[in-house]
Parts: sequence; structure tokens; C-alpha cells
Amino acid sequence: MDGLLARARQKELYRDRTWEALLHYKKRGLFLTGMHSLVDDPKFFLAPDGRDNPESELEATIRAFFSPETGDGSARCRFPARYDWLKTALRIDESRLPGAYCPAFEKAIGGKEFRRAVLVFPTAHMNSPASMFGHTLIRIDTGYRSKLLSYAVNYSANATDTNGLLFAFKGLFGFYKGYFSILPYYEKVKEYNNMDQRDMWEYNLDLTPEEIRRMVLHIWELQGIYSYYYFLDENCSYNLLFLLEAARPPLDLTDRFRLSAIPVDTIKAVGEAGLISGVEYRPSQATVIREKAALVNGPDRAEALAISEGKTGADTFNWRTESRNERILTDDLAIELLQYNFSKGKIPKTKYKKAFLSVLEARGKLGAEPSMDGEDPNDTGAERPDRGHGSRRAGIGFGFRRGAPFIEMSYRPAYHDLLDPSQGYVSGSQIEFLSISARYYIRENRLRLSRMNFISIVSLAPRDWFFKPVSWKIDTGLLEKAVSADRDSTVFFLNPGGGFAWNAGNNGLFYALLETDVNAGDRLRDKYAIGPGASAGIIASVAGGWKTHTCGRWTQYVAGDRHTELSLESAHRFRLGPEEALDLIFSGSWAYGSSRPEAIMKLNRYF
Amino acid sequence: MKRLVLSFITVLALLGFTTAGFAENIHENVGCGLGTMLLEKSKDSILIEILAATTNATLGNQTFGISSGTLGCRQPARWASNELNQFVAANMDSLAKDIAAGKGESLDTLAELMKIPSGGRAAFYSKLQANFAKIFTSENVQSADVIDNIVSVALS
Repeated sequence: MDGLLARARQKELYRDRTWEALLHYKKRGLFLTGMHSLVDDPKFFLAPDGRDNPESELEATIRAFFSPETGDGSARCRFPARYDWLKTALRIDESRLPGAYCPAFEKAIGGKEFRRAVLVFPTAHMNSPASMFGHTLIRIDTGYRSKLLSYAVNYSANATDTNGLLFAFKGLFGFYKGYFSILPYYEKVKEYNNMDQRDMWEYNLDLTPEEIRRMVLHIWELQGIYSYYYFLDENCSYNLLFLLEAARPPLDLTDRFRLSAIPVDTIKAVGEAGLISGVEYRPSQATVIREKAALVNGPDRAEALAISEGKTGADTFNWRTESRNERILTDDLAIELLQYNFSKGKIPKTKYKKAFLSVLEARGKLGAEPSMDGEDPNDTGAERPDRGHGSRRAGIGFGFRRGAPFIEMSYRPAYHDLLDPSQGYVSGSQIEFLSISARYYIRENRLRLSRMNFISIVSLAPRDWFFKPVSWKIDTGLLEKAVSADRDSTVFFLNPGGGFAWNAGNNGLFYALLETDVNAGDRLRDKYAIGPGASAGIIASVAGGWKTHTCGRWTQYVAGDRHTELSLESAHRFRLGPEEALDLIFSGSWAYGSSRPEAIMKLNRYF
Repeated sequence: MKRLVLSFITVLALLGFTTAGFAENIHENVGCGLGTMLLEKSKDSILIEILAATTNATLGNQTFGISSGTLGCRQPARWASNELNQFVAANMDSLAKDIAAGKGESLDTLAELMKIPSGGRAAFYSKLQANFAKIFTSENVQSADVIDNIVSVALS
């Protein structure tokens, strides 16, 4: 053993990239000379100072591998990936090691085939803030052909709080412990596709079987090991990258996301590393319903709907049509609607079970669906999220406000707004964090903060014959606005709202919201203004890369600085390239008996 | 002839299960489900050996409408020999849907777990579809019965 320790020292193995990857070590300190593991659980380290000292952890590991200790709790059974690497790096003669007996490991992993690793991305789900940016997990395919039987490896916070604010606070600041868990993939498909109504994207990873095996060994090492979970950086997607690095240590993915790790950005990085060899799409039940409903005519759709609502007397079909094909389409739709309504708690379980069995029996009698030639089930027209625009955006432009020329600079760290190309994002959604615009007014020679959003979330979800979602928004930050007839000033604003949206034409979305606006600022009379308001608008994709948003907003401030404010805006964004866009925005606002017309032309770049 | 081939295949599948499963400890994971009850319940069943071998980590007597399935049963190490039972218990709704439609991913998974060779699957699927009511006998049918019924239908 002393020989091995000497060899490890001589080769400086503790500096080896593989050791760094397996222990999740990151450089730290003023001059990045120190090392520190991002794993917080002391159980993960064999040396007392292992978390901050790669060298002593390595030596403790070598010693532990030679200890006579055996069984599931022994170091060799607990850290098979470390062992696997050291065996080769130190040319360990296994016959000189005490025999390892790891029944739990053997049962779970020994001799199993690991065919393929897949990075899975369930897209965002607007109504659940915790899922706003989506999520990622890794699927590991074993000997089975069916993907449903694969392992889903998932990193998540062990959170029990149901209070949204508390959840957000604790999540942002690392109060939760994050753990890896493994479930059958079918559980994840049910959870995302059927419960949460999130489309899933499956990116096949171009890893060799040996690399996948190394990943599995490392997952084993991380069982029951916690790291503190931070929504923004040390989150689900970030921690999965460690698994990829363990599979192929020369990869360095985690360093790119030290400040924040947005799931779709990590997928892009994995793609840039040449690791994606194919992609598959697994639509949510809501998406399936939209597709199936498009094939069913009005009266049949109404019939399917009545059955799905568990209406009395509507538990069997009253067929209007003789066509077996049409009956199949209608029945299939009824089945999906029924499951959807049940998963949303819209019908009680007893009704669901009865109706479900009845429509399925009817479906069984209708026989096989006529084959549709040449139809690719994966060709749904859905756009790959990793092909969407970059989530950061910077812009520079020129404009006039009340005739005064200005230069505007803007920057948005994340993530998507209503005018950005919706490919790969949830259409009708906006999520922006800490976006900032500053203006330099040329004549006055003054730089002013024009707008800074702490957070801006808008969810415009169209209502139709079946889906009846509520649209909502929450917008808060600092804004330069009129505080008297001829004066502008920076005020704090908090602007929540709720309402409805409907599809307008082929590519349009119309919405109307009731709002409240709370303003606070030194220049306001009484230093604040609060009032109800309303807004309405149309968002449309006019042609190719031209998207417009025309909207109006009225606010009646009834407390504090009482006044009425009316604003109109017509914004146009032209996509110039995959990551470039040009904005033309015309707007005007009326308050305190004066008007503020504005026009801006701005060039944006996503990255 | 077709029927004969199918029966033969299914019997092979049964044998496969029995031998594959016997090494497992039956009472290992009772906390997760109702393994013992399940066994007593299906005493007269032709599937007795399979169930004895595969119910140790059963998820309980699942019926329709269990959408989040496997509460408390998340030990991956134990999937090894219980896949069929677990799969059917956890996927009753989607499996019923696929059987009624005569196709689908859950049905493919069932066929794979029952070791039905790809050549025999089309016949297997249409037979299950035609006999939907014999497999899902009531809205309160339970997963163990469903497996029973599938095998009876396949052998009939």
C-alpha cells in the first residue's frame, strides 16, 4: 500500500482531471488556488478534510480500499467509480486487495447492460413557478427495448414546503438538500406528460458503453449523498453535468455554469461538446389532445367532451357516424379528455373509472386503427428547445422620447419575452430576470435608468373548446415614468394581473387582463400611487420572422398620487438571423394632462 | 396454428419468469405493498408461480386512476425481478388504453416483459384488443387480475 501511496504522490494523481470530476472539486479562493468540493454531505468524503483537500482525500481513499473492511458499507462498495479509476491509474494488482463483497451493488448493477444514456428535458410549465425553466434528467437504457423500463436519474431538492414564497426563498438560498434519485422512467413520463402536461425532449447522448458504465458507477456513489440545492446555479441541470463529466472526465461542462444553469442552456452546451447524437419528442397529453381534436368534427367532439366530463347518461357513445375510422378518432379523443379531466381533478375517481372502462371497451370493439402511411409520429412540427434563441440578450438602439433623442442599451440575463421567437419556448410566455435598459439622452447629456425588471412573468394561455386556462402576469422593478405634466422620474412598480387569452387567427393571440399597479417613488405625491387597471393586446406572427405586439393599458390610480394613465404601444421584432433581431417600437402614454410619444429602433443579439 | 404458436410462446414466457424470479426473497419488501394478500387471492390462478416469484416488491393492488403509482417503492435495486408486476400495477391506465387501441408503448413494454417475440406481437395485440372486456372485467379490476386475465386470454 505504501508503494501505491508513493506512486499516487509521484504522479500527482490528486490533480488528475478524473479525480476532480469524481469528487466535484472546483477551484476557489482569491487566486483560485484552493480546491473545494460542491458536495456538502460529509459521508461523501473519506478524509476529515476531504472536502477541501483532494490530496488527503485521495490518500484516504487508497487506504480505505486496502482496509479489510468489506460488505455494502465498505469504501470499495460505496465508491466503485473511484476504485475503477484508481485501479487503472495505479495499476493495482487486485489479487493483493482484500476481496470485496458488495451484494447490494452486485444486485443493482453487476452484470447489467447499459446501452444508452439520454438527456431528457421536460419543457417549462407556466403555472408552476418551480418548473419555469424546465428540468433535466438522465435516462439510462438497460437491456430492455422499451424506454419506459429504463432508469430515470433525477436530481432534485428535498422540499416539503407548499408555501410558494417560502419554497422560492429557501430554494434560492440553498436551504434544501438536493439528492439524486432513481425511478423507472415510466414514472417520470406519467409525471411530466400526463400530470404536469409538459412535453418531453429526449436527447440521445453519444457516449460509449464504457463511459455510460462509469456514469452509472458514479451515480451509485452519489446515492443518499446530499448537496445544498440552489435554484439558480447548483440545480438539477447543473448537477447532471457532473454525471457527464464522470462518464468522460476530459469534458468540462460545469465550469461554464457557475453563476446560473438554465436547463436548456446546459443542453446546448452538451450539444456543443458533440455529445448529442439524436433527439426524440414525447408530447404531453395536452399536446396530444390538441392534435387529436383537430381531426374530429364539432358534434363528435362535443360528444367526446360530454363523456369526459362524466355527465349522466353520457357514459356510452351515441354514434352519429357509420364510419369506423371517425368513431375511432372520437373514442380516442374521449379517452384522452377523460384522463386529462381526471388528472386535473375535474371529475371524481368513481366517475372516471366507470367512464374510462366504458370508452375503452367501446374502443376495443372498434378494432385496429387504419394504418396511416408515410406518417412519422415524431414529425409533429414541434421545435427543438436547444434550437431556440439564446436566453441572454443584449441590445443597442436609438430613439426619441417627446422629441428628445437617446441611445438605449439593454441587457437581459434570462430568458424569453413575448416578442422573442417562440421556437423552443412556451408560446405566449414571458420570463425575464433582472433585465435592464439604460438611456443616454444626448441633448441633456444624461444617463438614466429607463427600466429594470427584477422579475417579469407573463403567461398568456389561449382558451378554447376544451382548455380553459387563466392568463396572468407579475411584473416588478424600477421604471422611469411620468410623475407630473413635464417631469419623469424613477419609481418602483409592482404590477400583477389576471385574465383570459384566446387564439386570434392562425398565428395570433388576443388577451385581456385586469391589473393592479403599485408605484412608489420620491417624486410622486404622497410618494406612492395605487390603482386598478386593465390591459388588452394582440400578439401576432405576421410573416416569417416578423412578430408584433400591439397593446393598450389603462390605470386609474385611486390612492396616493391620484391620476389616470393611458398607454398604447405597437412593438415589432424582425428576426435577422438565428441570434439577431431588430426592434421597432412606437408607443405613447398620457398622464397628468400631457403626452409622451416615443419611438425606438434597436438591434438585439441573443447569446 | 397461430393459437398454438402463441400458447407455446406464452408458456415459455411463464417458465422464463418462474426461473428468473425464484432467486428473490419473497418477503423482502412487503412494506411497499400487499404481496401476501395478493398471493392468497390468486391461489387458484394459473399464474401462481409467476406471482409467487414476482410479487415480492409489488406495488399493491393497483386499480385505475392511480396516477402517481409507486409511493414509497422507489428502491431501484429491486426492480430486477418484479418488472412485470410493478409495471402493470403502476401503468394500469395507459396499459388499458393501449390494449383497447391494440397498440402503444405500454403494450410493447408488456409484450417485452412477457417475452413475446416480435413475430408474435401483432397477433397477441389484436387478441388482447378483441378481448378487452375479459381482461379489464370491471372498473375496480386489480393489476394482479389483469395479468391473470391477459395470460388466460393469450392461452385461450
